Amino acid sequence: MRNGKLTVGRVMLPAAAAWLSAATLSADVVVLKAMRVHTVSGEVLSAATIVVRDGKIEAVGNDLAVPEGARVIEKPGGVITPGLVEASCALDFQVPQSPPRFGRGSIRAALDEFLRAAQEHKRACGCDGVIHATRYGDPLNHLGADAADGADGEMGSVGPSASLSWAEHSSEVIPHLFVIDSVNLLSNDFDRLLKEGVTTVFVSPDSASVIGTRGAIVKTGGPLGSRIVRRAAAAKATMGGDPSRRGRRNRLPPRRGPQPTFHTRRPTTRMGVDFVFRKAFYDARRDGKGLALHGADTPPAAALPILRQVLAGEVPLRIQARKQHDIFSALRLAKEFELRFTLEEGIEAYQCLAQLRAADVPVIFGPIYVTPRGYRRRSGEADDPRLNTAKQLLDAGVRFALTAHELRGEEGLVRQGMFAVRYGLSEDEALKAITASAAELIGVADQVGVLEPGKAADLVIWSAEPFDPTSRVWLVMIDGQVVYEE
Amino acid sequence: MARRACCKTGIVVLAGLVAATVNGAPPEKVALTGGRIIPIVGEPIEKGTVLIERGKIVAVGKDVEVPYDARVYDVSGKVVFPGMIVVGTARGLDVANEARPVVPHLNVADAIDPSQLYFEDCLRLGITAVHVIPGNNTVIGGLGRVVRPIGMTVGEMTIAEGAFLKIAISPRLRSDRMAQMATLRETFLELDDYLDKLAEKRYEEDLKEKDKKIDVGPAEARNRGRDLIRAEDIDDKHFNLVRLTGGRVRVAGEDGPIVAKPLGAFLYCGSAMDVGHAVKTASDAGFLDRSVFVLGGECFKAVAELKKAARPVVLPPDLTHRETDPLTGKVRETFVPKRIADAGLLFALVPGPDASLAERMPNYQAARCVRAGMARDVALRAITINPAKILGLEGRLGSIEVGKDAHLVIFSGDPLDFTSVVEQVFIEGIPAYERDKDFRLKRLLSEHDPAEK
Repeated sequence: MRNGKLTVGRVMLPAAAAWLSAATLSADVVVLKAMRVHTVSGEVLSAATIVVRDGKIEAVGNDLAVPEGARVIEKPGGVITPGLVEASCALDFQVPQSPPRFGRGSIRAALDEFLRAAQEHKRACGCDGVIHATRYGDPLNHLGADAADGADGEMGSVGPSASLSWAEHSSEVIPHLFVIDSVNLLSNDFDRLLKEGVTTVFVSPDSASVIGTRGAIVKTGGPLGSRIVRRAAAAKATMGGDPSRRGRRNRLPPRRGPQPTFHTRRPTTRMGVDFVFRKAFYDARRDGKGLALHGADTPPAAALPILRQVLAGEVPLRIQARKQHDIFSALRLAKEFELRFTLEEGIEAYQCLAQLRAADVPVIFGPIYVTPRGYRRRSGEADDPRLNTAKQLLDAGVRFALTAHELRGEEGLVRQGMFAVRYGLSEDEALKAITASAAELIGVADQVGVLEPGKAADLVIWSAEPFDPTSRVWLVMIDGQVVYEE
Repeated sequence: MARRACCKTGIVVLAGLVAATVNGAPPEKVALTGGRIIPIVGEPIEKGTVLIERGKIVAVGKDVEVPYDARVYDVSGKVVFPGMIVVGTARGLDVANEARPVVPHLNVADAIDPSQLYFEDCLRLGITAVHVIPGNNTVIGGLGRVVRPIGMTVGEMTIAEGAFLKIAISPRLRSDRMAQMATLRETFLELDDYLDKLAEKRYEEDLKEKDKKIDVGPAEARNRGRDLIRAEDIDDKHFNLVRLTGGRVRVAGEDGPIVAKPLGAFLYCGSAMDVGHAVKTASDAGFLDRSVFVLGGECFKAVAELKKAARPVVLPPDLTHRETDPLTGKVRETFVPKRIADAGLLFALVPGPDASLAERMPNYQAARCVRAGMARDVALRAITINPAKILGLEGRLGSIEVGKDAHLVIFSGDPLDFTSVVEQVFIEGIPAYERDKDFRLKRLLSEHDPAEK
């Protein structure tokens, strides 16, 4: 079990915990032997050995000597890959991020209650068939399934995409906030990711703000003190409908200060979203020149230095855009401010291959699906996917990684790789897209994503080739420690 | 607007994919040669031939002579697999459930919508028989029907008339278990009452025909009227209940004549606690030996009761049950099919939600079972011959054997390999699906899409 050695003392003193684990690790040499090793950076090795020392990979090869005193983990039928890297994880924090929105007795509270009941019903009865019937107009079941869907995505606080129910609303421009402050490292979602072979995740912030908070890079297991790889990673901006559709419209609570005015309005259309984005960077430039800021949608003062860092390329930027014209908006705005960015989601990236290639914009693409679900379906931006977009990105020479985003289990990250293989990628390319490429696009390629000397010993032993639907995770190692074993 | 447009496209597409072949008579003789045949019953045959005549399989094997007048499909390098069977679903209906709770007289034949995209999806996924039955939001929901996913009318689609009523033990929406069980008990008590009165009425009618006056009290009239009840005397609502209880009229506690073919029940149990109620309800009303248990995720906990009932079970679409421990907050996962298989029960797998990419494929559900350690042939039977057995159609469907209906799927590779795709589907010898002509799939793969560059 993960965290099996954890004591209360270590939880209380993370610094001490890090020191302790470093001390216990220093004498640790582990040797892994398996039928096959996918190094990702190099060749696929048969009957290979990996030597791990002090949490790092020391050697990978065919006929390596086992150092004295080393612990040997031998899995004769196993296949070793690097630990998977989730480049855009919508994490379920499993703790409420904000108090209930409305007081007792309001219509909204009643609606929430109903949605909870519908969710409960869905859980209780399994609702086979009911979901499909919604599209064909059964009034009762329409309520049941659609409402339950709503509870899943945005309103309730249960379900795998509960983390999407929260959103930071203090401003439309908040790159000075860190999503890591919301991350609950003890969330069961990390356990789940870990058991599915994911060892490193980029926690992707919500999409309610035009320029949102900064993501974090976190390991899914291991000693608590060494889980956080990067507190403040890329800032996430969002094109399209999400910023105007979501959020609380900057309304202040009754009798708490002045009512919102023209100058504090939220964007309500794509035009508004683009304007807020443009104004933020325009103001950041003016501020850099010592000029006064004026007009609507002035970003908070604390955001300005971060925005300048984004302009200077010191803080990476990623932009979520789903539809073709939103991707074009992102490309246009980036060109205007000479920004480099990574595209997130990119559902219609297959429509913009040449433009993405020309601008050298990498894509964190996913999930692969036919019928959109949950909040993605309600966004109205996800109705025209392609199954082989990954293959098209590869053929067009666009750098890309695959992500499962909020999905787990049979649609989790390794399954996304499996889908990509069904629809055109080779197994090696698909594995790269969920390990090395993902690590590169989130900026940790120097630490994880491949199995070669000097990299962190994050790896997974599978019972068969990872994209075989009958294969399962036997063992997961993070920083040289076995954090999960079947 | 968009939705309507979508439905219309659906009809057009179905017409394109299917109608041309269905309206024409099936070819007299069809031979599939050179493929790896996985017959489910029996060992796989390398480079074998399946010969079909008038929709039936007439020969399977390595050394089958192909008649000169057969239409030959060379499937070398591919896999010939029995058409997969969905053992029970409300998909394909325009509405999953009637709003009233007790409606045993309803028949899904009136509500199956042949133009639904669901049936087109079935072909694409290699499903050739679907038992359409009302949803779970009911008490007694109506009669199901086994259909094939081709045909422009319900009549054309029908493989077999319904043999099962849907009964939900878990409460319907905005109800509770006490009310649900009370309604069920009440239904069967009311049936007894109805038949008692019907016997009296029949006795009176009989006397009237003979110009006689009533000569006995009500109790004796029931006894004398019992054998006079004919099938046509029973109204629609009670007729299917009589069939459910064995097709035999029972008046004043004693058996009368058999008036109709018995019906079975698909008993929906959402939670483990429902299983006991289901067994009791079915055995009290006399249909336990024709019952099929449709299980929710948690029902593996009632595996002892299920084992005692020794009836077939339909597994939940979410094969993994996840449960959060209320004390520790830790999540416990249970792979349900393993528990059921270990108990030695006859079970069928059903596809996952329509919106899922992999779980909606029955063969992927089987692959998940193999992943959890189940034997390959046990998992494959759960999507082919087991559902056929459960539906009482093992003489016609579920395997590649001489004498069975020619429901065949041509996979590009092994059905448990996710890179394998359904290339062709034959239903009763009719070439019902060809991947090369599936233009909705082509659009999803950015092929032949005039709207794109």
